[in-house]
Amino acid sequence: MMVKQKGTKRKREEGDDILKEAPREIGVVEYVENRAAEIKALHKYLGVSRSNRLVMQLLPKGLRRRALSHNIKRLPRRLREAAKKEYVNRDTKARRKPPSRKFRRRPKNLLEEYNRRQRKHVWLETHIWHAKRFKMEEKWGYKIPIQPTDKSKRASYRSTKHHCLIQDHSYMCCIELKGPEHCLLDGLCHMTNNSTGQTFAAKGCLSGIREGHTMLYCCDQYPLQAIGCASFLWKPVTGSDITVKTVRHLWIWVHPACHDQICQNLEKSFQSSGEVKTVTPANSTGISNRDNDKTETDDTPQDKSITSKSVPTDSDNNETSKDNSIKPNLSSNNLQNNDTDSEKELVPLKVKVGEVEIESLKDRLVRLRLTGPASQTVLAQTLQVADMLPQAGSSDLWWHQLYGRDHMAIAHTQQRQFWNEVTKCRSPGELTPHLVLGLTVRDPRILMPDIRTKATETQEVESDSCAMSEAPVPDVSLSAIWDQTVRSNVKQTKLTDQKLNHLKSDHLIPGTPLDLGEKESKIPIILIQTPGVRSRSNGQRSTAPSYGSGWDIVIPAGWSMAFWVAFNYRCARAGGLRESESLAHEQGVLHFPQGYPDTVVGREDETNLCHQLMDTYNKKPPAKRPNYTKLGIQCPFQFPWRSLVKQWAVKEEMQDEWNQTGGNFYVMRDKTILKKMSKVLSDVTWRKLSNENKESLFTTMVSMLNKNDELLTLGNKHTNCLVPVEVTMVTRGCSERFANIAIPLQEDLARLVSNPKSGAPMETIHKEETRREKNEEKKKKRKLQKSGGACKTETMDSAGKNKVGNENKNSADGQGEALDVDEISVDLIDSCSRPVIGYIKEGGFTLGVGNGRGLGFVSFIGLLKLLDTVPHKLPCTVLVRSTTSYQYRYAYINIPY
Amino acid sequence: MQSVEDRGKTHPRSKSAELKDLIDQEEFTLRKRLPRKLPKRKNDVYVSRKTDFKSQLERCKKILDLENEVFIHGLGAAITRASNLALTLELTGRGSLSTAVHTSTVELVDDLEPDKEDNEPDTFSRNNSAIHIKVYKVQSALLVTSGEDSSHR
Repeated sequence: MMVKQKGTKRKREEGDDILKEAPREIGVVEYVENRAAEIKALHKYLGVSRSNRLVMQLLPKGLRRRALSHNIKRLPRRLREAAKKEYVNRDTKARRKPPSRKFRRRPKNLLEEYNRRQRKHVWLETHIWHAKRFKMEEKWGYKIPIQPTDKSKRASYRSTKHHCLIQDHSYMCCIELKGPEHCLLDGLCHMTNNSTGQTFAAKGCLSGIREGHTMLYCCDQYPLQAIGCASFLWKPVTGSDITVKTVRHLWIWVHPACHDQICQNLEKSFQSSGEVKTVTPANSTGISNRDNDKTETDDTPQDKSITSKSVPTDSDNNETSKDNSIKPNLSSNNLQNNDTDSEKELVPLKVKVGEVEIESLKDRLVRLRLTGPASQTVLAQTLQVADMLPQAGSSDLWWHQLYGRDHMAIAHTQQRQFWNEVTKCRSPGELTPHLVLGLTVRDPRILMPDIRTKATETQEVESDSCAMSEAPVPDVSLSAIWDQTVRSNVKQTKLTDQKLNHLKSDHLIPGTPLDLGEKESKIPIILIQTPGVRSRSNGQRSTAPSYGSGWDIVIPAGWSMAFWVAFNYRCARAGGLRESESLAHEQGVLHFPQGYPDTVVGREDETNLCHQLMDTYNKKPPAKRPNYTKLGIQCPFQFPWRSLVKQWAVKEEMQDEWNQTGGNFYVMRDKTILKKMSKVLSDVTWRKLSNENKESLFTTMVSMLNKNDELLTLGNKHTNCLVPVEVTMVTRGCSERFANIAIPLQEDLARLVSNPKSGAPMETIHKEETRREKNEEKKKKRKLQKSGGACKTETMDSAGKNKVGNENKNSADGQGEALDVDEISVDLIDSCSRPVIGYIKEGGFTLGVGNGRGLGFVSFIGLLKLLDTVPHKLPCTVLVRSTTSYQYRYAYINIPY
Repeated sequence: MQSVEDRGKTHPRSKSAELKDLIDQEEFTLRKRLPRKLPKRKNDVYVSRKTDFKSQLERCKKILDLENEVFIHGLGAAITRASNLALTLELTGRGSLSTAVHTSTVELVDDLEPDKEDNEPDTFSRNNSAIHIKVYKVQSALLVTSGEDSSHR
């Protein structure tokens, strides 16, 4: 049918010249044979009803009749055949009734159901609490709470600004490294670089009193192949036992999406460092990665026994890590060699490379984050330091064994004193940044108020204001949570909620607090301060200092709910992933997967986002969605970073430099360079302030030129890199995701100087192909294919395909389909009236500043080009245009570091 | 909530200059911590350089409607703003309000964050002056009319 139609259409359109090219004769058999398959497929397609509804359910409402299901004659005649067939083929066996709710809700059955549901995606310990109140999403192998269903972003902002926001970050994965300090540092230096700021060897962090943050790269690949950011924590060594050979413990907290990649790279880097420095027998024999694993598992049976023993104990009464409980059966016996890979996937990773032991503590620790000034009071009321009474006889309680030792007892009293001092502060921003504090606290369930009550500040005035200014001694940061046995012990000895409630109900006077004495659990925890926004010297309207400061609290697994509910009872507001994102936006910092486009995870995130946006776009009719061709937006749903960098390199004739790194882009994270560039940009800003003073202007200009020269040489070196920038709107507008950052023309800037409130320039409407032009193009294409002498059938097919393709093009003008963003042939830079240098990655209105602000990335060469154009009256200004508008907006640009 | 940025500029000190050199040479980054906050009662108003003057004035008036006194605090560069606020408030009170001024010194802490890993993070403490102004209703005015509140506006 289709073939016929096409034929006639073609005849009508193209008339005689087609006839000339037409073949003399048609082999009928051949012709039919070629189309047989097509016809068959059509038949099949038409025959089967595609929906899973019955025929009578497909009837329009007006044709429905009473008792349709009994009397087939009530159907219209044309449908009777199909209905009859359906009636005959119907499932005679009655559908089995689902078990009653009462049955399903029995604890045992409910638990089974829960276990089934979390087989694929791991649940956080607070999952059920969250699932009742939050929008949940499956991400990175976890079920993650995204946003509360009742609160808007603004409510969460208020809680971070004035009260306390609490988030469950337990999905963050912890990797434990054990080994002598120099071995660890040797291995880890392959994955980090000094220039990106502090690394694992940072002196302030080595003693364990501060948490450090660093950027990880694939083994020896800096600056290419970034993996992700990580925070790390050294276990403090107490005064008595410091030697070179002491085994140090290091916890690296990483995002779950890059956990596996980091584990692999850790192994690799330790192997490469081990080969050079310390050659152990295992290392010398095993060459490849996998070989090494095998020898390791064979050679050290004790090691093995530890893993197999520790796993079941750890997962005994853990609801969340159910996949753990399946593991032991598989891992306990010695499997065949070729099964090692699958085994490795199942068992939490534990590898020994040389002297270094790598163990993944995924799902073994809980991390909660409290943000906001009130987190101080919430914590102070929830966490009561436990009393460690000196015990005469030795007992099997872990704290008696541990705190029986002298130095531990001293550490405990020091911690208690320090914590008392800390709680006197009004805001976590007053404390040492990234401070680590170890504590052993009482069971928070016992100390819970009966109803939700707001934690109130104490009104007493403190005299010693600067007691907190100095960094504490390492003893204060020591916590028993580092010990695996203590962790599992704490988990096992936890009294169930039910038992606690029973005990409570036994009281004569209801409401009196429980006194369990020795039976009460004592939980070792770690508190880590997060400083929030650090003051910046530049940046026009910066966020309030220390906004977003708070505490991270690390608890052993199994205790998450107890603490979570206790915090909630102190009126901490719960938030999800969206809150983390908006918090990062308010702070003006990059959030992990989104803000790191040169990592694997970041790219994945981008493609996911692209598909999501495209789906919604394609669902809308053309009149109800922006026409991106007319708007002159090449990539409305994607970030063509690589193409952008490449095109700038080509434009400035630096192609050789581009090819040096194998055609890959990376993000500039070198602190010294970023600082230098930020200074140049702020120098431009500074000139505005003192433009009357000609002398100073002159000197700054000279220094500017020098610096520009410096930057140019840098530009040669870093041709293919992106620079993170912060874009603040001058007057109106809001920088949104995917918005273009463009270099303004001289006249634009002149307009801004003369009248700052005048509107920014408009983009001209781009010409769109008219329908006639499109048709003509189609014709041309067809002709070309014909003259190519291709087989007739093939041409037909391809014409059909072409049509489909063109239709797609019609609908979305080329943007309806995902382009290959890495190889875009369209000119990204000069297709609009202002040259594009980059894109906004995350943006929007900032509540804390009361202005639009966005974080984006620009091409390094583009940025240098921008610096050339800036006149000497203005701060460094760019134009920003969002994807759905012709209007450019003025914005200041600066580089956060 | 004091503006932290320009506090050092108020009086050029050799010590801060020294510090600046240190920051330039040794590649430290200076990060300022929050000043130690005092407990906040209902009638405490903290003035910063960034808060809107008018709205703060309104706020003080509202507090005075309910209570007999309001405390205005200003730190560093915000001292002038705080005193301005208090004086304006006194003026609008048409003699029914009076002020009592108290000054103090606040110790502030800066963090020196090393950019290179060989350096130990350090702190640097400096002093800054603060002002605490009590604006209160004059006793006689209280006795004469308590309904004079409307005239404040």
